[in-house]
Amino acid sequence: MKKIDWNQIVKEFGPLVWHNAYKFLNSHEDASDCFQSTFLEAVKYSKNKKINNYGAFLAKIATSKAIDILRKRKVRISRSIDDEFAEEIVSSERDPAKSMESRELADKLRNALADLLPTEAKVFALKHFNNMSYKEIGALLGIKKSNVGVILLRAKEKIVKNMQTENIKRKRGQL
Amino acid sequence: MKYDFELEKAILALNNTPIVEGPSDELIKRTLMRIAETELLAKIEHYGTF
Repeated sequence: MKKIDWNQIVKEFGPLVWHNAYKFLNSHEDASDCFQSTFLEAVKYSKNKKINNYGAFLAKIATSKAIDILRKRKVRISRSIDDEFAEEIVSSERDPAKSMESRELADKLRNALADLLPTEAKVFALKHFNNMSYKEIGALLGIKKSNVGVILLRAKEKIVKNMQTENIKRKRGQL
Repeated sequence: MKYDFELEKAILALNNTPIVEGPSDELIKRTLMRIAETELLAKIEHYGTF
């Protein structure tokens, strides 16, 4: 098998993996863990199988790893150093109230994703955060194209229900 | 419909999450070192020795 130049691959696709990881995790530390484990899994995979499309493959692994991390931590409520970091960037936006609303919405979605079945979360994430087609998602996850739509619909229903429940809890002051 | 609209807004919000610049050179370096370790271990497992 031809030797893979990981140095080149990490440099070329590193920003894509980082972007995927950070978007989901909103934490420097977690995104760094996700970044490393994504490439290590790709290295292990490449020992036995050929990777044809590194971009799509790494995006899939990064998404999958990020969802695993999300599940484990279930979105930290407490403010972290990274929140401060993010705030610095957000504070440059014109409307702070709108920024806060966006952060809350994104956190609600992260929480809801952590509660989905792994396949549902992956399908949803690859569709909505990586703009992949049903065909591409099906090929990457080994699912029939027709099933991708079904899984996506089920994931959306669960997320909407989860967000709905969270809204009710917030109104009652339970969160 | 209200909650579908909220979902759309949440997707947009997550997609627009402010990204802290990265990966850092340090993270790339650490990752490449871990990759080298992994490849070395795989070789040892395969050949038994150097």
